Amino acid sequence: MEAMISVENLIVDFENITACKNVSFQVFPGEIFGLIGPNGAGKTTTLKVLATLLKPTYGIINIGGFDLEKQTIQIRKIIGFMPDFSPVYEEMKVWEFLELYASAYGIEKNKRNKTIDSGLHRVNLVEKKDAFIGELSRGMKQRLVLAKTLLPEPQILFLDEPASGLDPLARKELSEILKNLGNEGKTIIISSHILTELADFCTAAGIMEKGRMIKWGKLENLSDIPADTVCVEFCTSGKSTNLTNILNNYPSLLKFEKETDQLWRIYIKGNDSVIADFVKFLVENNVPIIEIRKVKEDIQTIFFKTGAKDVS
Amino acid sequence: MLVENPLYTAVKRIQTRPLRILSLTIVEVISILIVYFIIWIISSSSELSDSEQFFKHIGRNFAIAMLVGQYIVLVIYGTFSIETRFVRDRISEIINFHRLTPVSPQNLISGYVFGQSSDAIILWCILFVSGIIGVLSGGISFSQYLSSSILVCMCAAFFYLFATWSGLAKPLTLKFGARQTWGFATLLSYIIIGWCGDLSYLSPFPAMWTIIGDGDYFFAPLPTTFVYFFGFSMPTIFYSMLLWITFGFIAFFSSKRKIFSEDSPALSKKEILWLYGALAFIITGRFHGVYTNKLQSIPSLYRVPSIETFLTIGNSFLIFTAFIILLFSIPKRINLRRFFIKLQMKKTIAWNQDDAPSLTLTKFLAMICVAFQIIMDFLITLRISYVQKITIPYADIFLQIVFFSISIFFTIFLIEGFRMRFAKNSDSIPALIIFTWFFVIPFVTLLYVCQKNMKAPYLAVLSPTNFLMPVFLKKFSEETPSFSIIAGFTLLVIATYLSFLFWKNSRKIFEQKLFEIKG
Ligand SMILES: Nc1ncnc2c1ncn2[C@@H]1O[C@H](COP(=O)(O)OP(=O)(O)OP(=O)(O)O)[C@@H](O)[C@H]1O
Ligand SMILES: [Mg+2]
Repeated sequence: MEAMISVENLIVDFENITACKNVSFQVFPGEIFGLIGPNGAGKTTTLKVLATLLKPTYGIINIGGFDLEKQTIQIRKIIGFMPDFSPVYEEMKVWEFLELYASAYGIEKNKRNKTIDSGLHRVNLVEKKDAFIGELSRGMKQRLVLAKTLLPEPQILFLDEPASGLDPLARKELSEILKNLGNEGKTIIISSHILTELADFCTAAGIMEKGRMIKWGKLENLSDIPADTVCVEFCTSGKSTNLTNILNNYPSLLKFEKETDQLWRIYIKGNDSVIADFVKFLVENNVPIIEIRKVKEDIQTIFFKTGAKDVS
Repeated sequence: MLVENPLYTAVKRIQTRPLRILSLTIVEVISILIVYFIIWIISSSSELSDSEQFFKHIGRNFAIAMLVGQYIVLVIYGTFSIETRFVRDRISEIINFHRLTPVSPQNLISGYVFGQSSDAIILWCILFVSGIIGVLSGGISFSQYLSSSILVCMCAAFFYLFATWSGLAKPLTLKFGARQTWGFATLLSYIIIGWCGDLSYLSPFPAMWTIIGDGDYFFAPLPTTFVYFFGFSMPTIFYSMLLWITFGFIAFFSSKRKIFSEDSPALSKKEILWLYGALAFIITGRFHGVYTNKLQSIPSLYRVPSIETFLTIGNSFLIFTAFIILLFSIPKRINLRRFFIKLQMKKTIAWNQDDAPSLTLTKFLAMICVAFQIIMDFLITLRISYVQKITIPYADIFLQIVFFSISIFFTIFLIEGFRMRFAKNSDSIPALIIFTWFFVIPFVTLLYVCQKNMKAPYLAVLSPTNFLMPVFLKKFSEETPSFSIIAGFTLLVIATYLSFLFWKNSRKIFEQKLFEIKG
């Protein structure tokens, strides 16, 4: 599949720091790509470069088939960008702000009102239509900027920490909005350092640290557990001495790890249906199990794993 | 069309909320009262016999106060407000949103400029109409009043473009507290400009005074009738317009690129060339004008003791200007890094199979030196066969500036270039080049010049140390003050020592920087 966004060897210098060091990754059409990393990892910088707002020192970047360096105007037509803090005109009213961009994006005069209303509806801000922006709360401003970003219905979205400053309810609404956008086939890059927030709806992710892209890819490929393997963790009540021998007798075993005396992790070849089989095996061998669960590597585990690797 | 310009509509809406207009009006009325009071004090000395004379006088004062009020509102307030808006929108990064819309750069500029100045324009209309009352009293004719008002508008147009450019190009690193200081400094400079030599023509007052007539009013000391330009006496209005149009165009085109992308340089190479050319043309024209008229019948502002002093001052001024302009054209370190990383990444444009970056760099520098030398030789040849026939000094000054500019550019480029890492076995090469270029040539030249009694100081002109010795200007005179030679040698010693230090430390300092990506 053709990549929607491809970044190759992106280098961004600031006065005395290199914020992106040879960052390379690809995002495919319809993906929701989570850009994860601690503060100062270079997420905002990367997104700004992609949004044509920051000139990189170097980088071969292609967005929607256009070359970033030469076809800036074409790229600007297909992207939407939402920065991490929401720039708005405080002295304007909510609808005036949206009208400014509705007409800037060339939405016809007679359709503008409808577009603005549906935009406000989308982010749940209808009742604030006539309020001055200066009087809105931070989360509301953020939602207003999101509405503004979605006005021209861009094919590609760059969202820089969209959920910071939102209350839990708004967060949930946001993730609904994003999921819907994903279903509509839009390609989205969303940056965050709040991992749980991304886990729900990302289909791919990239982990950045200190200006480097440490790891990226589809969520399932990022994990250390191969596709045809099931990882199970179980606890026993008390120490069982010959458990190692018992486990070694299990036919489709790949490997096991003893985390503590009671906690074991085991990798089995096959799909989810082998778990029942495995439980039966344990019970038959009189292993005193008190808890068992399937291990699913989510973004969080992956992130901490990679982070740990980098530090060591 | 402006009405269809979304940015114009939006910004105008903010600017023309009733409360804002009201408070602005109050401030404006107060400042006009002050202006009127000042004018009244200045002009009340004349004897006023009959009441008709008296009303004429009052009317005239009133009309002039209104013109000054127009200037305050439209030029000073409007300019300041436009610049502040740009800086504020850049700091809040909302301008990035505008950049991402399909609205064209020129529409963005016009939206900003007309939208942000809409309150100033409304007030201007009120003032313009009120001023007509003064005209009706007969103290000043309507055509005089109208053309003066038009001049204020023209000047405002120029300053708006300039404010756009400076608002878009100002560094934002200083952010909040410094913003006010910037703004205040800008505001002051717009006011002060009206009293500063040739810069005063960027304010509408000299031209306005040409129109209104006898100058015993507020701005009397300014030259009133015409300026000398290439020996002609050019009407003040035309000269003002020449300045406005030249710089206005440059400001507009620079802003257009700057509003498209924050990262683009404030002035492109082409614009620097234009700006530089325009400046050289205008200043040279003024020199020539002044020189050929033997400084007679020049208004007091420009009366100077002798041609030598005048030329020396002028030369320093030109050199200073050149320096300022060239500051814009210095290749920033980041641009150099950009360039060299490109060389590194795209092997195809590397100049040699052996693409050790330091080697490439050395070759690059060497090539620049050679190119520079060739250009210089060419210029000198040109100068001997053609330019020397023109015996008036301005050609000489002009050439000096060209040389000076190139050498400054080159110096900086070398300094920046020097900050890159050189391979162990090649770091003597650039140092050798630098040393030869800056110190051996000038040194030999100086000796030569001393011997020949300064009749052929052409080579000395190539040296960047030359610009510190304005004495070379006087090469048409026979004497050479020993002072200049001493100064030259001292400079040479200092510079050699500095370059030695520089060379010694360079590797340590610049080891890390330019080619490392993996670090
Ligand atoms: N305009 C700038 N000038 C100088 N340095 C900058 C600039 N913008 C960012 N940086 C530096 O670049 C590095 C990366 O910054 P960036 O904002 O991309 O991080 P981030 O991953 O978005 O962090 P956060 O999670 O805090 O938003 C930081 O070290 C930062 O200090
Ligand atoms: Mg950030």
